[in-house]
Amino acid sequence: MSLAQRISRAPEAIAGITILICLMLVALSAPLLFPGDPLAISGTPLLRPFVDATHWLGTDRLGRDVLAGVVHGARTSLLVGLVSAAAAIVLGSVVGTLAGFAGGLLDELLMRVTDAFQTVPGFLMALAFVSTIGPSLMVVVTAIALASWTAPARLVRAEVLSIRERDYVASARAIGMHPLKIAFREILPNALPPVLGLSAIIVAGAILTEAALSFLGLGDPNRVTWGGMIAEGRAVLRSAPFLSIIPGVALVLTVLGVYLAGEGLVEATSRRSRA
Amino acid sequence: MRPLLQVSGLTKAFKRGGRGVPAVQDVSFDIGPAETLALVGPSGSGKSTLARLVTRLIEPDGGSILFEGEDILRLKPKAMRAMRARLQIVFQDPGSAFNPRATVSRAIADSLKIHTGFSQGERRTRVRDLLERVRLNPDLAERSIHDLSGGQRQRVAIARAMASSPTLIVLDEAVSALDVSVRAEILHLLKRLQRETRVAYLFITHDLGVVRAIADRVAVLDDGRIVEHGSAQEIIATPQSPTAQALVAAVPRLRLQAQ
Amino acid sequence: MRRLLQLKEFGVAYEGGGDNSALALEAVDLEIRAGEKLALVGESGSGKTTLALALASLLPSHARRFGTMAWEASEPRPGGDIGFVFQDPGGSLNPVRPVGDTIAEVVRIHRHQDRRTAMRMTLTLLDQVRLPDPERIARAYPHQLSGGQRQRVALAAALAGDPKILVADEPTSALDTVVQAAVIELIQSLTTTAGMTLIFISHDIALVSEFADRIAVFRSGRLVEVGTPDEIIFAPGQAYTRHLIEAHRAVGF
Repeated sequence: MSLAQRISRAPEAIAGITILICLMLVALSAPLLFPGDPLAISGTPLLRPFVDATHWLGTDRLGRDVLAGVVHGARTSLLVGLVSAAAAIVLGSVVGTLAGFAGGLLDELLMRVTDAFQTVPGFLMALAFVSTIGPSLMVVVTAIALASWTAPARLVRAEVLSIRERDYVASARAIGMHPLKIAFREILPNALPPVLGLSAIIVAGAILTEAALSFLGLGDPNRVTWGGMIAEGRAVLRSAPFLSIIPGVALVLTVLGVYLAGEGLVEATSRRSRA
Repeated sequence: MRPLLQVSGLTKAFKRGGRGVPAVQDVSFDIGPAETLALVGPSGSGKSTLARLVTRLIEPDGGSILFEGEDILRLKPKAMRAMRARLQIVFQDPGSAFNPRATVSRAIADSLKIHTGFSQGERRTRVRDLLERVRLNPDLAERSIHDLSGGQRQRVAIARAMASSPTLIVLDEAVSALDVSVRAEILHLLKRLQRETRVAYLFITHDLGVVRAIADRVAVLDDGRIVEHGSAQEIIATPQSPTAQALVAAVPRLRLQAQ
Repeated sequence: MRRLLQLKEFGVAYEGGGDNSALALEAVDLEIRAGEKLALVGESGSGKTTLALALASLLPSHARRFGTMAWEASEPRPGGDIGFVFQDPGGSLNPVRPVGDTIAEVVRIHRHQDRRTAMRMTLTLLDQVRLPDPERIARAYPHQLSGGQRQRVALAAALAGDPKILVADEPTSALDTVVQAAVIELIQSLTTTAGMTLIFISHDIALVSEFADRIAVFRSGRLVEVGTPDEIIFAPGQAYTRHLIEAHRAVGF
């Protein structure tokens, strides 16, 4: 059975992937749906949702369209979430592979660095990083990646330690393969599956961290973010709660989609390895 | 004639619970070109450790290994990797000796890539040649190793070992996990390859039946030491040490021959 | 000898993930007698293990049986009336429990004993499989034992339910020849003393010729022939049996 077939049998995977595909389509087509600057004033302030056909989800305190904000915000959320999670996994995998494969002093050194990063709470580290260097998309991505690479690093190292002792690694050494090639071509690909299982949690965590940073005003000021929208709405929470609720729902849906899709994927791949 | 491999005073201990447990103690032997030396011993006698020491997959605590006149323990990593073309190993478990993602052709071509300047096309031709030499259908080349039977996998392992034209192959219990009938076929294959290429074998096993079928000389190992040494016929007919006697007695015999 | 079981046109198919279901065993006619030592011999994929699992009611859930398997008495309960020893002695023991507990649990379930009696009987069993210092072994975890010791422990666990039938599936393939000879001798003498039926699966026709009453040769899911070792080895009726014997002569004594 192919991977696609197995995924199609897991209802949670279908639900998750559907949510994510919709979100990505929305994010990709944002400039077409709402061509102007989503931060520009486009109507009367504080219009309620579902009353004006041109501002379907209403407007905020400054008269900016909420739907345009949510749609453009999806771009930021997904971009930051995926890129920073990918960076964290790549960094973690490289560190974990080198530490596990080389052993000895290098292992000791890399793992103490990992410890150092892990003892500082991830969100505080990202916060400190962004507030020192200044908020921009690149900085936010870097900050989140730095805050979340340690878990994949530890996981990969543990896998590599067990795979390193297998016969096929000895076989690769016996035919004279270069150690770096053994580490990254023979060992790493076989150490990745559990990390991919973790990736959904990392992506979801990255999206939430980005939202939290934006909520505190540390997001890229030139982009709409859901966190920023929720923070904006806070001032008028009693009179216009929808301003915070709508981006909040978008955030919940995204994280849920990521979790479900990840869960389904792990389920599908583990079924393959059992067969 | 100068021996191909000359091992002397090889010693290795493993740390266990803070103290060193000796696995191989002061082991010396040599192998000539196109010769088969069997290292026989019960489990725990240090055979597999010795296989890995001789191929320098682990480093000994003491002793020397002269291969083709060179002390391989003194070779720098790069020179050692080049040397591995001529010093190969086949492991016991054909299930775990390959990257789970590998195809047959990749498993064999990896070695060609490292040790020859062949182009991709030449490598493909060579892989098919090698598969034919180990009597496998060349059309299996693009199959995943996991689709093959144990005997077929062991043939691929032998083809991989032969790819770099070695002068010595260490066979670490290479037929022990196979059915008796498959075992006979693989031994037959190994003998034919030896005739064709004059490769020498260091054959590690616990089974004197297999030894009788393939070995010229035998060294009996117990508790990390060589306790007896002689021609295969001698040791099987008149074992001297208690270890060798137990090994001879333990080989299954067809009932009629025993009675 | 009294008949224990009659197989008629017996077969097993494994249902694949989709529409492909593989026939592992087909059209087997075989009588098993109470108290005999029957060897099932064949190469991998011959169906010998499938038959062993079917006899012990241990087939996986996606297996489908057809034909008849008629027991003279009621169908035996796995663990109690029928003991099973697997090829990999490590795999059949719980890695995080002392081996004594594993055996004692079987005793408690199948012999309905209290904890203390079960532990005492466990020590007797460990002594019966000729493990030195049963008290120490009972407290050991599987990884602290050698392969031969683990297989003896697995044998003790298989005997713990006081079975009438012992099924041993390649119990010595993972062991070296010296330990193999000792384990075979042990299985043989224990089953003889207790009058147990032994069903022994192996790919080595010479190995089983040393102790089996009858040998059944399997190939590609079919029973090729069955007979006493003398019949099978002296006068093999089938080319395939001759092939197995030749293979042994090439790699044995």
